[in-house]
Amino acid sequence: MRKAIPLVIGFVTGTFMFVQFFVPHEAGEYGYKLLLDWVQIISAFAMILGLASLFHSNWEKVRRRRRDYGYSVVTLVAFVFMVYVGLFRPGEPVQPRGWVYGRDSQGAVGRWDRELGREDQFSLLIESDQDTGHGSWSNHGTGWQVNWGRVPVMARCPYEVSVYCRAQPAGGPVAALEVSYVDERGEPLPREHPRVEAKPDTADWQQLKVPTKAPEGAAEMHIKLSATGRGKVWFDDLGIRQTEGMASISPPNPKFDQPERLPTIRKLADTEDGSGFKWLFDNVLVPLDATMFSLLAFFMASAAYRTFRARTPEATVLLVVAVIIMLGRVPLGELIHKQFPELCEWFMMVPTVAARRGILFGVALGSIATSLRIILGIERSHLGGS
Amino acid sequence: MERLLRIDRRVIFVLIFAAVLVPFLANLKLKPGAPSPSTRDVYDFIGKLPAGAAIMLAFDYGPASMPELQPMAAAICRHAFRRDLRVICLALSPQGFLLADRVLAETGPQEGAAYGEDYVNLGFKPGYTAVVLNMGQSIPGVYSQDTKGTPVERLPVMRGIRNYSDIALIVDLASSNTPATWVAFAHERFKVPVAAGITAVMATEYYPFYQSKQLVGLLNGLKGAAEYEYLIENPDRGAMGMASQSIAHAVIIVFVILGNVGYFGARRRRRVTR
Repeated sequence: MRKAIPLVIGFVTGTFMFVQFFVPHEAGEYGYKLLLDWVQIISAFAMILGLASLFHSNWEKVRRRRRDYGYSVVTLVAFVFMVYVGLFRPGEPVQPRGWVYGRDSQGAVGRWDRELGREDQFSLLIESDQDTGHGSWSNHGTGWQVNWGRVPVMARCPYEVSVYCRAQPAGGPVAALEVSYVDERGEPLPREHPRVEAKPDTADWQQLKVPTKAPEGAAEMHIKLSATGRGKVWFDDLGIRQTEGMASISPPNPKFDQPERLPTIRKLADTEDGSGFKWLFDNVLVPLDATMFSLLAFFMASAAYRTFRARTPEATVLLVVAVIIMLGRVPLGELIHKQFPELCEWFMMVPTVAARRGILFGVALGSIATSLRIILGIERSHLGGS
Repeated sequence: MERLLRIDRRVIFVLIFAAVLVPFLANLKLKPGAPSPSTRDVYDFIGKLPAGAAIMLAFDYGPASMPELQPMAAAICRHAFRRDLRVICLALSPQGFLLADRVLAETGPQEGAAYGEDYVNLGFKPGYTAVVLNMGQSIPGVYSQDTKGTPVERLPVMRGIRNYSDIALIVDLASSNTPATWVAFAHERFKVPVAAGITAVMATEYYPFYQSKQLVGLLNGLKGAAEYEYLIENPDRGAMGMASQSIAHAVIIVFVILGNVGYFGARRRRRVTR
């Protein structure tokens, strides 16, 4: 039974894929797409299985104190550390729930200020030391944060959005409040974005207000709090009011006093600059990998010196062609003789292609034969055992 | 003569190290001469695409192959941005998408291209063949969001991109056998043009595909990268690497010649003494 089921699966899927390639029927197309989705899911699990296997084999080696188990200790430590940094992002700043600092910001830094607020100790801060510095906070999150800052609205309804702001130095940077809308699919609606800006002239909190009307098809409101210029700008106490009917709607985290939910669980593959994961990739993995590969150059040079000898006519042909290719692949060859690159190209395009094509035909025929043997259940070595 | 057969390997190592390092320190750039037909074919194909067309750049390599493939990626991105083409990056290799970030972060701002509008990094998906085949049905179906987590339907660069019929060219930058996968499943099944940028050691494997026009062009190793840089009039790391490679090849050839002179000298001596 343990062997019969995999054989049946192999036969059915193999035959199906073979037939559907030549028979463009609707049912075939559906099954084809379904199978491809399955393959992708299985591939993802295969990666996890591979990682588990790597961990297990090294763990066993350490546990049983096998020869050179010290290398396994290094592997395990690096493995666990990389997974921890990738998943839990230690050292990254905690953000206020529902609000993200804009990726389009330039020359300005956004921080969640937990010492200064209008009525409490929490606010959003944008700071710049450049006259042209620009930064923005918005409720338009991505990834894990995408749902946390949502402000659902009703189409054709009028609203008033307000926020308090404060600047340092007074009369320095410009603070702005901008509102835009998206439809149910998240597509921005092509309407003018209501916006108000001010240059707070005192160190006191000043209110910015934007009257707006949700356009036809609007499903969500995007709020952008931005600052431009040298200095600091704080934002606090956001309010959204439905001006007809005087009902208020609750904006996400309006006092900016709640931390991001599940701040430690982020996407593994988030490549934002500054993350520990990216830092480790750039500063550990890249140099190590490049160093390992670079060592080949030294060993190849040494090996070429020791083994490239014109001992036989065949070895002489190999030696001469190798020298021509090596010179033809670099500008130095052309400096020695202008025909070198052309001669190199001829070798690549004629004798090499002829030999390679023969090998490719052999490989292709072998692959077809092996595939047929697997589909028909003749080849069973992939099932394990003898 | 026999001393030529016993050169200490450390001497070879030091000379190779110097041959590679000195051109970098001296910022020496060597022009690789007339571009190979395989490089020019890629350049011409991209050069003829209409503004707004989308090209897909697959980063199927890791840091080990960066010196050869990263200059290629940068040169192609620059060329595409200058021609107002949309660049959609993705990776079948787990490390590739982080290398794509490096290239895009450098070339995008320098060429006035904006993330999300002119280029995007869709990241890595496991499954190799299944990913390539699935994108023939629906690209947003496979990559529903980019590496920053933004849903692709919100990215202007992805507007109107449904499947391979909306892609003008796929360029696979690879250090493994993925170009064959792209040729077999994207080109042969969905008829999308495919070009490849590969490490020099893989070149012999892919010339048959180029000769049969299954690949519209082929960037072959560091030389291919340098040739492309000169074609777009932006000699950079590829051109710098050419100088190092030239001197390193010369050093290796000199040692091979010394080894053979020593070998024949010793053989002759043995015959005379007999």
